Amino acid sequence: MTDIENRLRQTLKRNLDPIEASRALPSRVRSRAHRGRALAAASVLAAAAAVTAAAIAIPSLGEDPQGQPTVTTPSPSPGERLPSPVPITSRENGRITYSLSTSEGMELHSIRPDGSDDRLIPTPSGLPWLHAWSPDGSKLAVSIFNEDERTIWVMNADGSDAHQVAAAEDVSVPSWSPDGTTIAYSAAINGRAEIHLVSAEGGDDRLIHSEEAQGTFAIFSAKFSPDGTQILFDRGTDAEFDIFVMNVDGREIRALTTTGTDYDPHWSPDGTKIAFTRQEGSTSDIFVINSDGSDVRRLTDGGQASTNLHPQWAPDGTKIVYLAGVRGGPGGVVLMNANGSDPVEVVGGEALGVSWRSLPVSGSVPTEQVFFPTWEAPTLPDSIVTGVLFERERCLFLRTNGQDVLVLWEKGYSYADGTLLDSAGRPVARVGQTIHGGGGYGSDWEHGEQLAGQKIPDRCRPIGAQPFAQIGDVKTGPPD
Amino acid sequence: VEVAQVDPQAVKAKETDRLGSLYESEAAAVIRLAYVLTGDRHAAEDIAHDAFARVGRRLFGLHDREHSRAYLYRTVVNLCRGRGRRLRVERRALQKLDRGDPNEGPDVAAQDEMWTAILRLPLRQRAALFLRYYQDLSEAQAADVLQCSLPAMKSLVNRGLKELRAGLEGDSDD
Repeated sequence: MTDIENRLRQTLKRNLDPIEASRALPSRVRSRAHRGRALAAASVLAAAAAVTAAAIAIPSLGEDPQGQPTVTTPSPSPGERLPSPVPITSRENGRITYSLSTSEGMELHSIRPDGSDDRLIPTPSGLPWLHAWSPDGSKLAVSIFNEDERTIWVMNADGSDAHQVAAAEDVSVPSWSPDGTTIAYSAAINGRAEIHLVSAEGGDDRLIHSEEAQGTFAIFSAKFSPDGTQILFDRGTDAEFDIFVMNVDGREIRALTTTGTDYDPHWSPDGTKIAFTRQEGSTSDIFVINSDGSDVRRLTDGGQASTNLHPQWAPDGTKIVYLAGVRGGPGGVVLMNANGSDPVEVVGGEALGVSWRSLPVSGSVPTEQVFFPTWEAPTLPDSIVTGVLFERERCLFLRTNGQDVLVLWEKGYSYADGTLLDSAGRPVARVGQTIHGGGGYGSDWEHGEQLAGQKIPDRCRPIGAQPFAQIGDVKTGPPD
Repeated sequence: VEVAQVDPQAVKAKETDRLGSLYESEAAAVIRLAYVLTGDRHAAEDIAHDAFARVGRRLFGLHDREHSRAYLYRTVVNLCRGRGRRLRVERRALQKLDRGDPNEGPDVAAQDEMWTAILRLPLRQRAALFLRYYQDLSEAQAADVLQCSLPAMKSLVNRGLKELRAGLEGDSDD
């Protein structure tokens, strides 16, 4: 035996021999094993019955004959309403929220993006680990961890009026639908990895995806796309995990990555890119990929022992915030440009969850996305476009069977022959098309009010100095 | 049609006994393996408990002690890889609820040059060295645990030893 082998043996013995285990099986291990055993015992019953009564059809609880896990996509029940597609809305950056690990447990804090003005947000009992702001920034959804159960709570920005909307084992970070009415989450339920939608008010919990969760298999998170049409999720085992996307009804699952090392996906606000964490041996770093799975690019290179994870886009899409841990332990909160340049630590210590509050645009016209401010009501119901009042200088006035709508856009979109097209050439608004609305437009109404007061860009003013509030009087044809 | 009768309560009691027996004989080794792979005592204990909970759900399919032990070790290695590392971060904070700060107190191994070098090795090399030089498993047994071929196991061990040697020489040069 060589010298290095001898030293290795001695070192392992010296460091490991003092480690002892409790004499008896800990109760928490027994209870956790039993939670899974309900399923296993049912499997035995099924197997025993199959031997003597092959004619009885007993549902398989394991893998299907081809060895693939069984996946269930529940059909929506009649009348069930899934979140509607909505135009992507431009937002401003609000405060950054982070979970701080302390000797007493965990606290939820918020800071300005420059790291100043640290404030504590009160939360329900437990560890306020993972969180997400509603699209209009008025509500905060928080996953609270306790020993045996995780719960999702929705509260006001100051922590008031907290109410629980979900509870299950391994509940993930919550994700808001863009209209602010629904929260998506993943969880481990009865031996299956599932994705659910639940009303942000509580109740109306709907299963949209379910699959066998043998061994360490799990779905780690589920995130709404910015237009509300798709769900992004990461799934796999403790050793291999990848990023997938599916329609919001649970159909058409597509793999976006296949390396077996990718998790923590997060959409860019315009829906064109996805930031995620990639495991590389004992380290992890932040990467970005196009929303179709193409063009993988590295954004961080933390080097040995780094654990960069949990990337979150800024609401305006210009920056990404992430957690920078060391050797698998918690670390600080780092802010960088969306291309990975100029990383700056804005929070030191042991941060474990991070989210970024979005706010309605207040001081300038959106530069990239379409939005639908209205001037008749604080919310925009689903409505059908019945006519185009006029289009000029990237401003489109639409008449609908409900109310008149102003659409502003800048980059990427185009207008031709009465139809507004998005950057992929898909029609966003044209006569006969339904514009899906919802309560989420309440924030836009604030913006609409500001527009009505003074922020309407000059290029969109239809008739000289006529107040914006009178635009609805315009019937047809372009103004002079 | 006759259906075989199985009493779920009896099954549960029997399997709990089997899990308890397996825990008594293997818990210390499993925690030690997790400690080598994480370098964190509390995380190691938590991962070991998680591994027993998972193997407890699988005892039906594990025919003997050797299979169960290999499955336990394999589960620990998997738990310490990738996603498990993040879960470990979560658990560390959970432990603070009733155990105080896991970072409190001196790390007995912090000053150990060789131990530090071991903790720098890639995870599978660390696991291979633990199985061969601490658990004294044969190459075939260790290969079974890590689900690799015999040549791959030899390579893991040789590369681990080589990196340890290089690491120690590098440190002494500093």
